[in-house]
Amino acid sequence: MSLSKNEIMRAKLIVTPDLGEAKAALDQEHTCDTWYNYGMALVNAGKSEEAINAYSQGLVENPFAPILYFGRGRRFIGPKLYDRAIADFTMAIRLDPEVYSYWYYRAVTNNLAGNYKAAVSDFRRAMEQTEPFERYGLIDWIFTSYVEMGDMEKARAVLDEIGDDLPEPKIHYGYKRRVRLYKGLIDPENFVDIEDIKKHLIPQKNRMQLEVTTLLFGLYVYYIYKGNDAKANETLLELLKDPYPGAFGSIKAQKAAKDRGLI
Amino acid sequence: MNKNDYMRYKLMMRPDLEQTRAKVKESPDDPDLWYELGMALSNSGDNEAAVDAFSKGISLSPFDPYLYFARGRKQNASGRFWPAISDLTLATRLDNTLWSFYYYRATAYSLEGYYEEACEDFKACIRIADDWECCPMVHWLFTTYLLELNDRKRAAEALKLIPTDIVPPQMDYGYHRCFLLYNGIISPDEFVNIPDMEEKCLKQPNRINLELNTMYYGLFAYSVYTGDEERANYALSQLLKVAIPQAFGYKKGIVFAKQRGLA
Repeated sequence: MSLSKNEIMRAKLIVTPDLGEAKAALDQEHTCDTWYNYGMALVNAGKSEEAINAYSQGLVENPFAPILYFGRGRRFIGPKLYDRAIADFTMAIRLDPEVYSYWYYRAVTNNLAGNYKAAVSDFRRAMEQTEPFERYGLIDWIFTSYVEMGDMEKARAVLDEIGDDLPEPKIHYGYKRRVRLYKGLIDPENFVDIEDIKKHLIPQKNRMQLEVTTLLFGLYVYYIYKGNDAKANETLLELLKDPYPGAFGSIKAQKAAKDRGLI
Repeated sequence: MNKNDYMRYKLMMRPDLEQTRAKVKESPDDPDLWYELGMALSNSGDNEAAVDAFSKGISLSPFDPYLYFARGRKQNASGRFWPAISDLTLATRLDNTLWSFYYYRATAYSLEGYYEEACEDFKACIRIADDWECCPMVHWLFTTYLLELNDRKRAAEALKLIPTDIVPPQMDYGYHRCFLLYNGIISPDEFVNIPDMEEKCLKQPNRINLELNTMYYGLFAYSVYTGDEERANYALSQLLKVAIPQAFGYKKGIVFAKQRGLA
Protein backbone atom coordinates (compact mmCIF):
# COMPACT_ATOMS: atom_id res chain seq x y z
CA MET A 1 0.00 0.00 0.00
CA SER A 2 1.55 3.30 -0.98
CA LEU A 3 1.90 5.93 1.71
CA SER A 4 0.22 9.29 1.43
CA LYS A 5 2.40 12.39 1.18
CA ASN A 6 1.51 13.28 4.78
CA GLU A 7 2.39 9.81 6.06
CA ILE A 8 5.76 10.03 4.34
CA MET A 9 6.31 13.45 5.90
CA ARG A 10 5.30 12.24 9.39
CA ALA A 11 7.83 9.45 9.05
CA LYS A 12 10.52 11.93 8.07
CA LEU A 13 9.73 14.04 11.14
CA ILE A 14 10.54 11.29 13.62
CA VAL A 15 13.42 9.44 11.94
CA THR A 16 16.27 8.70 14.31
CA PRO A 17 19.06 7.54 12.05
CA ASP A 18 22.34 6.34 13.51
CA LEU A 19 24.98 9.01 12.95
CA GLY A 20 27.61 6.65 11.62
CA GLU A 21 25.18 4.96 9.26
CA ALA A 22 23.80 8.28 8.04
CA LYS A 23 27.33 9.56 7.36
CA ALA A 24 28.23 6.38 5.51
CA ALA A 25 25.10 6.65 3.37
CA LEU A 26 25.97 10.26 2.60
CA ASP A 27 29.55 9.38 1.73
CA GLN A 28 28.26 6.79 -0.68
CA GLU A 29 25.81 9.09 -2.41
CA HIS A 30 24.83 12.74 -2.09
CA THR A 31 21.06 13.06 -2.45
CA CYS A 32 18.46 15.23 -0.76
CA ASP A 33 17.48 12.23 1.36
CA THR A 34 20.99 11.35 2.49
CA TRP A 35 21.65 14.99 3.41
CA TYR A 36 18.32 15.20 5.24
CA ASN A 37 18.96 11.97 7.16
CA TYR A 38 22.46 13.06 8.04
CA GLY A 39 21.04 16.32 9.37
CA MET A 40 18.45 14.43 11.43
CA ALA A 41 21.16 12.13 12.80
CA LEU A 42 23.16 15.18 13.88
CA VAL A 43 20.06 16.62 15.52
CA ASN A 44 19.47 13.41 17.43
CA ALA A 45 23.09 13.48 18.53
CA GLY A 46 22.54 16.95 19.95
CA LYS A 47 24.57 18.68 17.24
CA SER A 48 22.15 21.31 16.01
CA GLU A 49 24.73 23.71 14.52
CA GLU A 50 26.29 20.89 12.57
CA ALA A 51 22.86 19.91 11.37
CA ILE A 52 22.35 23.44 10.03
CA ASN A 53 25.67 23.10 8.21
CA ALA A 54 24.65 19.74 6.79
CA TYR A 55 21.31 21.01 5.52
CA SER A 56 23.07 24.08 4.09
CA GLN A 57 25.67 21.93 2.37
CA GLY A 58 22.86 19.82 0.95
CA LEU A 59 21.25 23.01 -0.32
CA VAL A 60 24.44 24.02 -2.13
CA GLU A 61 24.02 20.85 -4.18
CA ASN A 62 20.22 21.06 -4.30
CA PRO A 63 19.19 24.72 -3.98
CA PHE A 64 15.52 23.92 -4.68
CA ALA A 65 15.03 21.01 -2.28
CA PRO A 66 12.12 21.92 0.02
CA ILE A 67 12.87 19.14 2.55
CA LEU A 68 16.29 20.64 3.25
CA TYR A 69 14.88 24.14 3.84
CA PHE A 70 12.32 22.51 6.10
CA GLY A 71 14.95 20.55 8.04
CA ARG A 72 17.10 23.64 8.48
CA GLY A 73 14.19 25.86 9.40
CA ARG A 74 13.29 23.58 12.30
CA ARG A 75 16.80 24.10 13.74
CA PHE A 76 16.17 27.81 14.13
CA ILE A 77 13.13 27.42 16.35
CA GLY A 78 14.90 26.31 19.54
CA PRO A 79 17.30 29.28 19.58
CA LYS A 80 14.30 31.56 18.80
CA LEU A 81 15.69 32.67 15.42
CA TYR A 82 12.13 32.89 14.17
CA ASP A 83 12.78 35.13 11.17
CA ARG A 84 15.32 32.65 9.80
CA ALA A 85 12.99 29.74 10.45
CA ILE A 86 10.06 31.46 8.74
CA ALA A 87 12.24 32.32 5.74
CA ASP A 88 13.22 28.67 5.30
CA PHE A 89 9.66 27.38 5.79
CA THR A 90 8.43 29.96 3.30
CA MET A 91 10.84 28.68 0.70
CA ALA A 92 9.82 25.08 1.41
CA ILE A 93 6.17 26.08 0.95
CA ARG A 94 6.85 27.93 -2.29
CA LEU A 95 8.72 24.93 -3.66
CA ASP A 96 6.08 22.41 -2.57
CA PRO A 97 2.87 23.97 -1.25
CA GLU A 98 1.18 20.58 -0.84
CA VAL A 99 3.05 19.37 2.22
CA TYR A 100 1.14 20.25 5.32
CA SER A 101 4.14 20.00 7.63
CA TYR A 102 5.74 22.98 5.89
CA TRP A 103 2.62 25.08 6.55
CA TYR A 104 2.32 23.64 10.03
CA TYR A 105 5.84 24.51 11.12
CA ARG A 106 5.63 27.99 9.66
CA ALA A 107 2.33 28.41 11.47
CA VAL A 108 3.81 27.27 14.76
CA THR A 109 6.80 29.55 14.32
CA ASN A 110 4.51 32.47 13.55
CA ASN A 111 2.66 31.68 16.77
CA LEU A 112 5.90 31.52 18.75
CA ALA A 113 6.91 34.87 17.27
CA GLY A 114 3.57 36.36 18.35
CA ASN A 115 2.24 36.65 14.79
CA TYR A 116 -1.07 35.03 15.76
CA LYS A 117 -3.13 36.08 12.75
CA ALA A 118 -0.47 34.82 10.34
CA ALA A 119 -0.29 31.63 12.40
CA VAL A 120 -4.04 31.01 12.12
CA SER A 121 -3.90 31.69 8.39
CA ASP A 122 -1.09 29.14 7.98
CA PHE A 123 -2.82 26.54 10.14
CA ARG A 124 -5.90 26.90 7.96
CA ARG A 125 -3.77 26.38 4.83
CA ALA A 126 -2.26 23.31 6.47
CA MET A 127 -5.77 21.99 7.03
CA GLU A 128 -6.33 21.97 3.29
CA GLN A 129 -3.63 19.32 2.98
CA THR A 130 -5.12 17.00 5.60
CA GLU A 131 -7.89 14.54 6.19
CA PRO A 132 -10.14 15.27 9.22
CA PHE A 133 -8.45 12.66 11.43
CA GLU A 134 -5.11 14.44 10.93
CA ARG A 135 -6.34 17.81 12.20
CA TYR A 136 -6.21 17.62 16.00
CA GLY A 137 -2.86 19.41 16.09
CA LEU A 138 -4.09 22.15 13.79
CA ILE A 139 -7.32 22.66 15.69
CA ASP A 140 -5.36 22.78 18.94
CA TRP A 141 -3.00 25.43 17.65
CA ILE A 142 -5.75 27.58 16.17
CA PHE A 143 -7.63 27.29 19.47
CA THR A 144 -4.47 28.23 21.37
CA SER A 145 -3.77 31.17 19.06
CA TYR A 146 -7.27 32.56 19.61
CA VAL A 147 -6.94 32.09 23.36
CA GLU A 148 -3.65 33.98 23.23
CA MET A 149 -5.35 36.74 21.24
CA GLY A 150 -8.03 36.83 23.95
CA ASP A 151 -10.75 35.81 21.50
CA MET A 152 -12.48 33.06 23.47
CA GLU A 153 -15.51 33.07 21.18
CA LYS A 154 -13.47 32.16 18.11
CA ALA A 155 -11.48 29.70 20.20
CA ARG A 156 -14.66 27.91 21.26
CA ALA A 157 -16.03 27.93 17.70
CA VAL A 158 -12.99 26.20 16.22
CA LEU A 159 -13.56 23.16 18.45
CA ASP A 160 -16.71 22.40 16.44
CA GLU A 161 -14.58 21.84 13.34
CA ILE A 162 -13.40 18.40 14.44
CA GLY A 163 -15.06 15.28 15.78
CA ASP A 164 -14.71 14.10 19.37
CA ASP A 165 -12.87 10.86 18.77
CA LEU A 166 -11.38 10.38 15.34
CA PRO A 167 -8.55 7.81 15.00
CA GLU A 168 -5.62 10.16 15.05
CA PRO A 169 -2.06 9.35 13.90
CA LYS A 170 0.03 8.28 16.92
CA ILE A 171 2.21 11.33 16.61
CA HIS A 172 -0.87 13.48 17.38
CA TYR A 173 -1.79 11.72 20.65
CA GLY A 174 -1.08 14.79 22.79
CA TYR A 175 -2.95 17.20 20.53
CA LYS A 176 -6.05 15.02 20.36
CA ARG A 177 -6.09 14.70 24.13
CA ARG A 178 -5.76 18.49 24.46
CA VAL A 179 -8.65 19.13 22.05
CA ARG A 180 -10.83 16.68 23.98
CA LEU A 181 -9.92 18.55 27.17
CA TYR A 182 -10.92 21.89 25.61
CA LYS A 183 -14.19 20.30 24.46
CA GLY A 184 -14.91 19.29 28.06
CA LEU A 185 -14.64 15.57 27.32
CA ILE A 186 -11.78 14.97 29.78
CA ASP A 187 -11.55 16.03 33.40
CA PRO A 188 -8.51 18.31 33.88
CA GLU A 189 -7.63 16.50 37.11
CA ASN A 190 -7.12 13.25 35.14
CA PHE A 191 -5.69 14.85 32.07
CA VAL A 192 -2.02 13.87 32.33
CA ASP A 193 -2.49 10.10 32.58
CA ILE A 194 0.87 8.33 32.41
CA GLU A 195 -0.64 4.89 31.81
CA ASP A 196 -2.70 6.22 28.96
CA ILE A 197 0.36 7.90 27.46
CA LYS A 198 2.29 4.62 27.63
CA LYS A 199 -0.41 2.88 25.57
CA HIS A 200 0.05 5.41 22.78
CA LEU A 201 3.78 6.06 22.96
CA ILE A 202 5.84 6.26 19.78
CA PRO A 203 9.15 4.41 20.13
CA GLN A 204 11.29 7.54 20.14
CA LYS A 205 13.93 8.68 22.58
CA ASN A 206 12.41 10.71 25.46
CA ARG A 207 8.95 10.59 23.90
CA MET A 208 7.26 10.31 27.33
CA GLN A 209 8.85 13.57 28.42
CA LEU A 210 7.71 15.23 25.20
CA GLU A 211 4.14 14.00 25.59
CA VAL A 212 3.94 15.18 29.22
CA THR A 213 5.30 18.59 28.23
CA THR A 214 2.76 18.86 25.42
CA LEU A 215 -0.12 17.86 27.67
CA LEU A 216 0.86 20.21 30.47
CA PHE A 217 0.99 23.14 28.09
CA GLY A 218 -2.45 22.22 26.81
CA LEU A 219 -3.67 22.12 30.39
CA TYR A 220 -2.25 25.62 30.91
CA VAL A 221 -4.12 26.85 27.81
CA TYR A 222 -7.31 25.21 29.12
CA TYR A 223 -7.07 27.07 32.42
CA ILE A 224 -6.49 30.38 30.60
CA TYR A 225 -9.54 29.63 28.43
CA LYS A 226 -11.54 29.00 31.59
CA GLY A 227 -10.21 32.11 33.28
CA ASN A 228 -8.47 30.22 36.08
CA ASP A 229 -5.20 32.08 36.44
CA ALA A 230 -4.11 30.35 39.63
CA LYS A 231 -4.34 26.87 38.10
CA ALA A 232 -2.75 28.19 34.89
CA ASN A 233 0.29 29.41 36.83
CA GLU A 234 0.48 26.18 38.82
CA THR A 235 0.48 24.15 35.61
CA LEU A 236 3.19 26.27 34.02
CA LEU A 237 5.46 25.77 36.98
CA GLU A 238 4.76 22.04 36.92
CA LEU A 239 5.74 21.90 33.26
CA LEU A 240 8.92 23.83 33.84
CA LYS A 241 10.15 21.30 36.41
CA ASP A 242 11.05 18.89 33.58
CA PRO A 243 10.39 20.45 30.19
CA TYR A 244 11.34 18.57 27.03
CA PRO A 245 14.14 20.66 25.56
CA GLY A 246 13.10 22.43 22.39
CA ALA A 247 9.46 21.28 22.50
CA PHE A 248 6.97 23.91 21.41
CA GLY A 249 5.23 23.55 24.76
CA SER A 250 8.51 24.19 26.58
CA ILE A 251 9.32 27.26 24.51
CA LYS A 252 5.87 28.71 25.00
CA ALA A 253 5.79 27.82 28.68
CA GLN A 254 9.10 29.59 29.27
CA LYS A 255 7.81 32.74 27.64
CA ALA A 256 4.43 32.58 29.37
CA ALA A 257 6.04 32.08 32.76
CA LYS A 258 8.34 35.08 32.21
CA ASP A 259 5.46 37.23 30.98
CA ARG A 260 3.50 36.27 34.12
CA GLY A 261 6.43 37.05 36.37
CA LEU A 262 6.64 33.47 37.59
CA ILE A 263 10.32 33.10 36.72
CA MET B 1 20.32 52.10 -14.52
CA ASN B 2 21.78 48.96 -16.12
CA LYS B 3 21.95 45.70 -14.24
CA ASN B 4 25.54 46.01 -13.04
CA ASP B 5 25.08 49.63 -11.99
CA TYR B 6 22.01 48.55 -10.03
CA MET B 7 24.07 45.79 -8.44
CA ARG B 8 26.72 48.28 -7.37
CA TYR B 9 24.01 50.57 -6.01
CA LYS B 10 22.59 47.70 -3.94
CA LEU B 11 26.08 46.73 -2.74
CA MET B 12 27.21 50.19 -1.76
CA MET B 13 24.05 51.66 -0.23
CA ARG B 14 24.41 53.16 3.21
CA PRO B 15 20.89 53.97 4.37
CA ASP B 16 20.31 55.75 7.66
CA LEU B 17 19.36 53.18 10.29
CA GLU B 18 16.67 55.07 12.17
CA GLN B 19 15.05 56.40 9.01
CA THR B 20 14.97 52.91 7.54
CA ARG B 21 13.48 51.45 10.72
CA ALA B 22 10.71 54.04 10.49
CA LYS B 23 10.05 53.20 6.85
CA VAL B 24 9.87 49.48 7.63
CA LYS B 25 7.46 50.11 10.51
CA GLU B 26 5.20 51.96 8.12
CA SER B 27 5.47 49.40 5.31
CA PRO B 28 6.38 46.06 6.93
CA ASP B 29 5.40 44.06 3.84
CA ASP B 30 7.92 45.70 1.52
CA PRO B 31 10.87 43.32 0.98
CA ASP B 32 13.03 46.09 -0.49
CA LEU B 33 12.78 47.99 2.76
CA TRP B 34 13.88 44.92 4.71
CA TYR B 35 16.88 44.75 2.37
CA GLU B 36 17.65 48.39 3.16
CA LEU B 37 17.26 47.76 6.86
CA GLY B 38 19.61 44.80 6.59
CA MET B 39 22.18 46.99 4.87
CA ALA B 40 21.80 49.70 7.49
CA LEU B 41 22.22 47.15 10.29
CA SER B 42 25.19 45.62 8.52
CA ASN B 43 26.84 49.02 8.16
CA SER B 44 26.27 49.64 11.86
CA GLY B 45 28.12 46.40 12.63
CA ASP B 46 25.11 44.31 13.71
CA ASN B 47 25.49 41.29 11.48
CA GLU B 48 23.00 39.10 13.33
CA ALA B 49 20.23 41.68 13.14
CA ALA B 50 21.11 42.15 9.45
CA VAL B 51 20.67 38.41 8.83
CA ASP B 52 17.29 38.57 10.55
CA ALA B 53 16.24 41.57 8.48
CA PHE B 54 17.24 39.91 5.22
CA SER B 55 15.37 36.80 6.38
CA LYS B 56 12.22 38.88 6.87
CA GLY B 57 12.66 40.14 3.33
CA ILE B 58 13.07 36.58 2.08
CA SER B 59 9.79 35.56 3.76
CA LEU B 60 8.06 38.27 1.75
CA SER B 61 9.95 37.63 -1.49
CA PRO B 62 11.54 34.16 -1.43
CA PHE B 63 12.94 34.34 -4.95
CA ASP B 64 14.72 37.68 -4.67
CA PRO B 65 18.41 36.93 -5.34
CA TYR B 66 19.64 40.15 -3.72
CA LEU B 67 18.22 39.14 -0.35
CA TYR B 68 20.06 35.81 -0.43
CA PHE B 69 23.20 37.51 -1.68
CA ALA B 70 23.12 40.09 1.11
CA ARG B 71 22.32 37.50 3.75
CA GLY B 72 25.04 35.21 2.44
CA ARG B 73 27.63 37.95 2.83
CA LYS B 74 26.60 38.50 6.43
CA GLN B 75 26.51 34.77 7.18
CA ASN B 76 30.06 34.61 5.87
CA ALA B 77 31.13 37.59 7.96
CA SER B 78 29.70 35.80 10.99
CA GLY B 79 31.74 32.66 10.27
CA ARG B 80 28.81 30.53 9.11
CA PHE B 81 30.40 29.15 5.98
CA TRP B 82 27.90 26.59 4.67
CA PRO B 83 24.83 28.78 5.31
CA ALA B 84 26.72 31.53 3.46
CA ILE B 85 27.55 29.31 0.53
CA SER B 86 23.99 28.01 0.29
CA ASP B 87 22.63 31.57 0.23
CA LEU B 88 25.16 32.72 -2.35
CA THR B 89 24.54 29.61 -4.45
CA LEU B 90 20.82 30.26 -4.49
CA ALA B 91 21.50 33.86 -5.52
CA THR B 92 23.49 32.61 -8.51
CA ARG B 93 20.74 30.16 -9.42
CA LEU B 94 18.05 32.83 -9.24
CA ASP B 95 20.12 35.22 -11.32
CA ASN B 96 23.22 33.90 -13.08
CA THR B 97 23.94 37.18 -14.86
CA LEU B 98 25.34 39.10 -11.89
CA TRP B 99 29.02 38.50 -11.40
CA SER B 100 29.07 39.90 -7.87
CA PHE B 101 27.16 36.86 -6.66
CA TYR B 102 29.88 34.54 -7.96
CA TYR B 103 32.61 36.86 -6.70
CA TYR B 104 31.43 36.79 -3.11
CA ARG B 105 30.91 33.05 -3.21
CA ALA B 106 34.44 32.73 -4.59
CA THR B 107 35.91 34.75 -1.73
CA ALA B 108 33.95 32.70 0.80
CA TYR B 109 35.20 29.47 -0.77
CA SER B 110 38.74 30.80 -0.85
CA LEU B 111 38.83 31.80 2.80
CA GLU B 112 37.65 28.34 3.79
CA GLY B 113 40.28 26.57 1.64
CA TYR B 114 38.08 25.49 -1.27
CA TYR B 115 40.52 26.89 -3.83
CA GLU B 116 39.41 25.06 -6.97
CA GLU B 117 35.79 26.03 -6.32
CA ALA B 118 36.89 29.61 -5.72
CA CYS B 119 38.78 29.72 -9.02
CA GLU B 120 35.84 28.30 -10.94
CA ASP B 121 33.69 31.09 -9.51
CA PHE B 122 36.26 33.78 -10.34
CA LYS B 123 36.31 32.45 -13.91
CA ALA B 124 32.52 32.54 -13.98
CA CYS B 125 32.75 36.21 -12.99
CA ILE B 126 35.07 36.89 -15.91
CA ARG B 127 32.68 35.18 -18.33
CA ILE B 128 29.82 37.39 -17.16
CA ALA B 129 31.53 40.72 -16.48
CA ASP B 130 33.00 43.21 -18.90
CA ASP B 131 36.80 43.16 -19.16
CA TRP B 132 37.23 46.51 -17.40
CA GLU B 133 35.53 45.03 -14.31
CA CYS B 134 37.79 41.98 -14.10
CA CYS B 135 41.01 43.12 -12.40
CA PRO B 136 39.92 41.71 -9.01
CA MET B 137 39.09 38.33 -10.51
CA VAL B 138 42.38 38.07 -12.41
CA HIS B 139 44.28 39.10 -9.27
CA TRP B 140 42.59 36.40 -7.19
CA LEU B 141 43.00 33.75 -9.87
CA PHE B 142 46.70 34.57 -10.19
CA THR B 143 47.36 34.58 -6.45
CA THR B 144 45.24 31.50 -5.72
CA TYR B 145 46.77 29.38 -8.48
CA LEU B 146 50.27 30.50 -7.55
CA LEU B 147 50.25 30.57 -3.76
CA GLU B 148 47.56 28.12 -2.73
CA LEU B 149 47.41 25.61 -5.57
CA ASN B 150 51.14 25.84 -6.50
CA ASP B 151 50.22 26.01 -10.16
CA ARG B 152 52.42 28.51 -11.95
CA LYS B 153 51.06 27.51 -15.35
CA ARG B 154 47.45 28.35 -14.52
CA ALA B 155 48.62 31.48 -12.68
CA ALA B 156 50.32 32.71 -15.84
CA GLU B 157 47.32 31.80 -17.99
CA ALA B 158 45.05 33.84 -15.74
CA LEU B 159 46.92 37.00 -16.65
CA LYS B 160 45.87 36.56 -20.28
CA LEU B 161 42.15 36.46 -19.59
CA ILE B 162 41.71 40.20 -20.08
CA PRO B 163 43.57 42.77 -22.19
CA THR B 164 46.19 44.94 -20.48
CA ASP B 165 44.81 48.25 -21.74
CA ILE B 166 41.53 48.19 -19.82
CA VAL B 167 40.37 51.22 -17.85
CA PRO B 168 39.08 49.98 -14.49
CA PRO B 169 36.57 51.65 -12.17
CA GLN B 170 37.96 53.83 -9.42
CA MET B 171 37.12 51.25 -6.74
CA ASP B 172 39.50 48.74 -8.37
CA TYR B 173 42.61 50.92 -8.13
CA GLY B 174 44.60 48.40 -6.08
CA TYR B 175 43.57 45.39 -8.13
CA HIS B 176 44.51 47.21 -11.32
CA ARG B 177 47.96 48.11 -9.95
CA CYS B 178 48.45 44.40 -9.16
CA PHE B 179 47.35 43.44 -12.66
CA LEU B 180 49.84 45.89 -14.20
CA LEU B 181 52.60 44.56 -11.92
CA TYR B 182 51.94 40.92 -12.78
CA ASN B 183 52.04 41.77 -16.49
CA GLY B 184 55.35 43.61 -16.16
CA ILE B 185 53.84 46.96 -17.15
CA ILE B 186 54.95 48.62 -13.89
CA SER B 187 57.93 47.63 -11.79
CA PRO B 188 57.87 46.62 -8.12
CA ASP B 189 59.72 49.84 -7.28
CA GLU B 190 57.00 52.05 -8.76
CA PHE B 191 54.15 49.80 -7.59
CA VAL B 192 53.18 51.71 -4.43
CA ASN B 193 52.82 55.42 -5.23
CA ILE B 194 51.05 57.23 -2.41
CA PRO B 195 50.54 60.59 -4.22
CA ASP B 196 49.03 58.67 -7.13
CA MET B 197 46.77 56.84 -4.71
CA GLU B 198 45.71 60.05 -3.00
CA GLU B 199 44.72 61.41 -6.37
CA LYS B 200 43.03 58.38 -7.87
CA CYS B 201 41.57 56.21 -5.12
CA LEU B 202 37.96 56.50 -3.96
CA LYS B 203 37.60 59.32 -1.46
CA GLN B 204 36.49 57.24 1.51
CA PRO B 205 37.84 57.03 5.04
CA ASN B 206 40.80 54.64 5.23
CA ARG B 207 40.52 53.80 1.53
CA ILE B 208 44.23 54.05 0.84
CA ASN B 209 45.01 51.53 3.55
CA LEU B 210 42.33 49.22 2.18
CA GLU B 211 43.92 49.39 -1.26
CA LEU B 212 47.33 48.77 0.28
CA ASN B 213 46.02 45.62 1.91
CA THR B 214 45.26 44.36 -1.59
CA MET B 215 48.45 45.70 -3.11
CA TYR B 216 50.93 44.37 -0.58
CA TYR B 217 49.39 40.93 -0.89
CA GLY B 218 49.75 41.30 -4.64
CA LEU B 219 53.38 42.39 -4.26
CA PHE B 220 53.98 39.32 -2.10
CA ALA B 221 52.50 37.08 -4.81
CA TYR B 222 54.52 38.74 -7.56
CA SER B 223 57.71 38.39 -5.53
CA VAL B 224 57.09 34.68 -5.00
CA TYR B 225 56.40 34.36 -8.73
CA THR B 226 59.72 36.02 -9.60
CA GLY B 227 61.67 34.25 -6.86
CA ASP B 228 62.47 37.42 -4.90
CA GLU B 229 62.21 36.14 -1.32
CA GLU B 230 63.52 39.31 0.24
CA ARG B 231 60.85 41.42 -1.42
CA ALA B 232 58.22 38.79 -0.60
CA ASN B 233 58.95 39.14 3.11
CA TYR B 234 59.09 42.92 2.77
CA ALA B 235 55.63 42.93 1.17
CA LEU B 236 54.15 40.88 4.00
CA SER B 237 55.80 43.08 6.62
CA GLN B 238 54.30 46.15 4.96
CA LEU B 239 50.90 44.44 4.83
CA LEU B 240 51.04 43.91 8.59
CA LYS B 241 51.68 47.63 9.10
CA VAL B 242 48.54 48.68 7.19
CA ALA B 243 46.44 45.72 8.36
CA ILE B 244 42.69 45.98 8.03
CA PRO B 245 41.56 42.67 9.57
CA GLN B 246 38.43 42.30 7.48
CA ALA B 247 40.25 43.01 4.19
CA PHE B 248 40.50 39.98 1.96
CA GLY B 249 44.15 40.71 1.17
CA TYR B 250 45.01 40.85 4.86
CA LYS B 251 43.15 37.63 5.64
CA LYS B 252 45.12 35.89 2.94
CA GLY B 253 48.44 37.52 3.68
CA ILE B 254 48.44 36.90 7.42
CA VAL B 255 48.47 33.15 6.78
CA PHE B 256 51.69 33.41 4.82
CA ALA B 257 53.17 35.94 7.24
CA LYS B 258 52.67 33.44 10.06
CA GLN B 259 54.11 30.62 7.98
CA ARG B 260 57.24 32.74 7.42
CA GLY B 261 57.53 33.72 11.07
CA LEU B 262 56.76 37.38 10.33
CA ALA B 263 53.65 37.51 12.51
